[in-house]
Amino acid sequence: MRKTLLLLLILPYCANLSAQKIDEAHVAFADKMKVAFPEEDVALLSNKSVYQFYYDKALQTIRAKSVDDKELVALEYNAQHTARIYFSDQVGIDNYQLKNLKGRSVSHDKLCGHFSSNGIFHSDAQICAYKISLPEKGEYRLLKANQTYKDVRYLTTAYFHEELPAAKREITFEIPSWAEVELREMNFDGFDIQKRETDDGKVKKITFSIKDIDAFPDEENLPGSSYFLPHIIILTKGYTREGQYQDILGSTQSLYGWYKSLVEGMRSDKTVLEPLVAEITKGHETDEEKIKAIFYWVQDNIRYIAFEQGLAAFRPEDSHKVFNDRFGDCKGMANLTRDMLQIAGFDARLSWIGTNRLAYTYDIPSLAVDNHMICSVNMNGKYLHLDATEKHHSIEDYAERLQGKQVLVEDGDSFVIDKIPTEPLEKYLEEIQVQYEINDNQLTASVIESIDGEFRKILHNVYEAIPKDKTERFYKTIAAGNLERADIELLNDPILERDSVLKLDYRVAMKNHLNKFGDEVYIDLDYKKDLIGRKIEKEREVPYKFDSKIYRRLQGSLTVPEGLAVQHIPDALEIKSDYFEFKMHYQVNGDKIDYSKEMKITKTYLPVDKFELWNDAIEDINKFYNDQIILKAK
Amino acid sequence: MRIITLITVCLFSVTLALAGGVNDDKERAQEIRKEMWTDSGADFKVVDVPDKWAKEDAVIIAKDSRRSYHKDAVVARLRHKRYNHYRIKLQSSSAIEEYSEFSVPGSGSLGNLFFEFYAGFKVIKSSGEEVIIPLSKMVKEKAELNNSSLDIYKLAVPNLKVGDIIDYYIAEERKIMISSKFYPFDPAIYELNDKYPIMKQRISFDVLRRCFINLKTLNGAPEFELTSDSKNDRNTYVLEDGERESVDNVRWLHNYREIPTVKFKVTYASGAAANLPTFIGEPGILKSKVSVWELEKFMGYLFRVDYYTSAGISGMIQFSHGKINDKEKLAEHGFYALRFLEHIASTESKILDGKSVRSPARYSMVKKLSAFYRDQGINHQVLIGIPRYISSLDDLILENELTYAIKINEGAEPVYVSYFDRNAHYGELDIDLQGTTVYAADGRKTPSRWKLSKIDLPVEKADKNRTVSHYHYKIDDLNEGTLTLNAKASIVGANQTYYQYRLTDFYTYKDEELAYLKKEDLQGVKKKRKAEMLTKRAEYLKTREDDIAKSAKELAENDFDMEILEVDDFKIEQTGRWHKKPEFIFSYQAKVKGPVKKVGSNYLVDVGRLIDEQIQLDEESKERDFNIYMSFARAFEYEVTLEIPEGYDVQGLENLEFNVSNDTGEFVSSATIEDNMLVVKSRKAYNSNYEPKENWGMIWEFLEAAEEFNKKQVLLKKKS
Repeated sequence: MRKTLLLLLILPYCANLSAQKIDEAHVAFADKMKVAFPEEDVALLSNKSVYQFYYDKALQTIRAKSVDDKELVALEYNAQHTARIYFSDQVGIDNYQLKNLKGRSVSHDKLCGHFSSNGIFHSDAQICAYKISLPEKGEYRLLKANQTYKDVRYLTTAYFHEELPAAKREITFEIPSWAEVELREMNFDGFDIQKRETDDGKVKKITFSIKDIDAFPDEENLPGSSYFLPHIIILTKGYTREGQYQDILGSTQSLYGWYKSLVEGMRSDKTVLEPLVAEITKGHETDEEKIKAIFYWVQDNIRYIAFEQGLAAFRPEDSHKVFNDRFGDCKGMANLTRDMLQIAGFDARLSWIGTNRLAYTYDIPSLAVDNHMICSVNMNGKYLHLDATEKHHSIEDYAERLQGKQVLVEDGDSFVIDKIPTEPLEKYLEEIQVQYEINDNQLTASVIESIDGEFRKILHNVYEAIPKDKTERFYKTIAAGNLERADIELLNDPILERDSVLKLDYRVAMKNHLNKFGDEVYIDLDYKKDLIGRKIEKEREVPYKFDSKIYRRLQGSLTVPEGLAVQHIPDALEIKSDYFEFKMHYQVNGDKIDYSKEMKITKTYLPVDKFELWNDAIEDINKFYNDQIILKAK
Repeated sequence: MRIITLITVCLFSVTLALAGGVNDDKERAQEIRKEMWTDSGADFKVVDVPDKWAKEDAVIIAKDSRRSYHKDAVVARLRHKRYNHYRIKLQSSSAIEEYSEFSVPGSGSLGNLFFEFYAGFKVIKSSGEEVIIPLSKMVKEKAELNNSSLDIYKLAVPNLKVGDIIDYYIAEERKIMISSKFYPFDPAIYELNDKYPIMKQRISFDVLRRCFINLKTLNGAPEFELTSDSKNDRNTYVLEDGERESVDNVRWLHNYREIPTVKFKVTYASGAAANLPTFIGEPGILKSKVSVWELEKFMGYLFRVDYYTSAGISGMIQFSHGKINDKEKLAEHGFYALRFLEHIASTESKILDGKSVRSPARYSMVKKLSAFYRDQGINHQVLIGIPRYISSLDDLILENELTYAIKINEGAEPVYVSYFDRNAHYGELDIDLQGTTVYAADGRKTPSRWKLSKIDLPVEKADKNRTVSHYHYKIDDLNEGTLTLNAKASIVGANQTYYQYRLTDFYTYKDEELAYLKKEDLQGVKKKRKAEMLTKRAEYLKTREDDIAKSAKELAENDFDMEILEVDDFKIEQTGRWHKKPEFIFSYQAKVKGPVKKVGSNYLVDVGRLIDEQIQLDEESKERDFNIYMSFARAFEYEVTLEIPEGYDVQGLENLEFNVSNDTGEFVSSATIEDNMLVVKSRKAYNSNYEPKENWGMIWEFLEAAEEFNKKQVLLKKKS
């Protein structure tokens, strides 16, 4: 009862009992689409969206409305589809209709309400879900919906892909001559998108269309859609009425100006924070130490709970409220960090940033460009960027999701665009030093395992969430790799700290990793087998996103027992590409066999045309792991 | 699993699932707040927890669950109140995470039910300071289903730290407009252990003295104490408890058989309704035992005669098989005719129209079949019992705890009929009744005259629930490690259900049903409708094979620890729906990869991976505090053959020899070379559905052997 989910899927089946006329052309369409999209029950004959800009005389501003016409056709009998329309405080649903082929309204179940996504506790984002039943194959429904954008800044992008595949998808913009609206075409390459333009002097009409388009992909490990799906960024820059130009989001300066106007609405009471700042900076001499103390205090003491109601989605909560509640969203946490740092005498500022879910840079003046707020400290002209929502995160590192991204830093009436550095791969190092031993035909290993970077941070976050009596189990699970926890004997009391690597010191009984056949002994030294079997499905047509870059290194050494000689070691493997590098090899040095393994994933985004390269590499890795050392009696 | 869901749904439903209103500023809210926070007694003032629980993530200092049942004077309206109050010390970040957010339903009504919710949250800091969280901090999450409100209020608890105590209550007050003189309130069930240890807990309920109360305490739970308030016509029952250790999820445990538990149900009944044949007993008198007489009366009502179905079954048998004098045969035919009526006769039409196909309630099927048997003079008993995961028969207290079966006594050995789903067959004894004592009634007599007597039901042996798998492997490409697998599985007994429901559909068994009862396809369906159905059927059948093959591949991926590249040639060889052919048999061919590894010029074969994956034992569960309740005794046998590639010898057969056998079960395996084939045989069996906790070590022993076998390898050694 403590967690809430919007019960989108509880809509009961509602059959439309009245007999429907079925158009033969729709049956043929269903047959054709079923072949192309065998997993789908319903497809769109056409899916049209029209965006119209108009002047609201009462409010004396530009507004936009959208009109969506979706023609649904059942690809099989007894098909059902839940159509969803999203709305919020800024984007309302004016009306919607669901009609059959004869143009008559069709009864249906409807569930409307708030929904939560991406860990947001509460926002003004709402959804209406309409349960549409299509009992007959070829059955037709027309779903029409009109929406109004009360503030055109919230009209940011238009995508071609939607929940259902469509035979025809069309997006039209009707832009009056007095409005300045720029349409940026994104990721159009590789898609046959036609563009038509007419202009009667009053209204410019631009239509983009594409045929036979898939449904929005739902594979796992998807990069942000802005990286690979075709879409249009809608930049409503301004408009001219009665000779006067009114800026909306005409430039990055305008975007910053709007953000700043919201930030200026804050009423933080910094005096509440002063005793705290004095207390936590006490005894710290250097600026670095003081900043670190404040940054870590916010990380450790403020829970991330996001409220995004209306303009509050862009306006940070007052810092004293965040402090009193001990929770806040990214904006609130950034604001608290900033105010605390300012009290401590630093030039700390609020900054806007798009995480790596977003492909955009700040040359695009749009609310679509960013989705996150952090705090930046001006250190003699160089900025230190602090994201307190990243729990257990060292001040020395930048989180994977921010690296390489532009950041818009407040600077009075102006702004500064900085870039978050990309961390060197060494910061991701997970290193294992192993001494293998064979005694009485049993293979054991003494291991020192060190984990740093994103993975250490993830482990720390998991650690905080597990029950106290499960901590040993937790560390043993990390150590065990492909073995059982029972095979691990922990020799140290591991400590997870954000500024140091996690060290695990343990012995491992590598049961079944040594097998004796006649006078030969077969030995498998690798109990971790990183990336084994991690092939990407052949059918996948969308890019793959790794959670993080990876750098894993293993160095091990086995002393060959007396009376045995090395008969075989696996062939070395070395694979290098722009996206990953794998080096794995065994080497005989006197009476020792050294094993070394280095695995690097240097880019988190793997495009579709690199899947074959990846899968070939994984196949080679699988074979390398399958091969073993063979020792033979002398 | 053929488990009666009705009982669990009725018995264990969480009542907060329905809506109500969060009322912060009303008089009633203040009264409840005072009751919860001011008048709640010394247990809710405690701030320290015993040292022995210092390492727990949280400790429940006090827990108070109150219920109240009234009827308004004159007006046909019932009032039901439920208050749950907790005081919990939070001792870890995971506990903070768990208690940092709450949701409370909003106001509302549902038909004749009206709900009001009240809540309060406060945090007691380690300094002793109490911080009440204003409900104005809650945010409303709107939700509206077809104009009915399902709003939820969410609260993020501010400034919560390790060491804090959270003290909160959520109260619900219901008004129920009634149109009859009989209203059973939802049953309440409380386990006295929780995932966190409990220092003190109190469960109480008060009722109008004229209400009826069924109540049972189980597994050593303390008894309720009664306080009567004759002035207000009210009885209050209170259970005080404490010092309970935490109990987390445990494998193979029936909580209600081991953990101290209380359950009760209050019923409002007046006038003639109070004399309905239920278990409600006398008004105002707590009832903890159901007498045989009451049960007989209830059965007489529940099984009142249904002539219609009996006649229908007779007619079908007469048409398809002619006159049958052998009563044993008649009993069999009666079962299958009833199965046809319920699952075949009008089912295809529903499936093709996308309508839901519901399974009928067990008692109604037992009633129909028993009526037929009675009409035919077949010697049978109707069995009335309680599923073993709920309680023993002596602890019966609620009507919906009961389940039913039939025992046919016509042959040398009794035959049971328990299941009535689409794949059920004659001669199955309910796994949830095995090893239990049940009541039996002579089904030949009119139900109103039934006299119940106790009988014990047997526990079936492991081989009654046996899965036999034949896997033949041929290596296609040694270097690539790809193999062709020809698999055939034969499953009898309770393990069938899982596979049947994933690998079969109506069309798997339709023809055998029509043939059995000598029926024609779409018999009796009007011409126009027939044409329509044929069109829809053709459409369905277009993708059917692919859909089932996809399910087969998913099952194989789930069962094996290797890469399943493709599955072809899937066949159902026997449906397992007839008692004379009870095995569900299917076969398929698959391309697989993974178990053969190139090592130098030789090849290692992970023989353990050639059979299905085994249970992974968890080191932490090696010690066990509770007796072991498994669903049923069962056995798994494998015969794996691997064609030895030319030019290679097999070494390491001795690695595959296991023989661990004890009273609780066994894991036995062997390996031989026959006709240039590696032949590996294994058998794992769980001998019983129940073992005392003292036997856990023995179960562990053979499970460990099976797990070890799973990791074993042999060598394909190149001949020199």
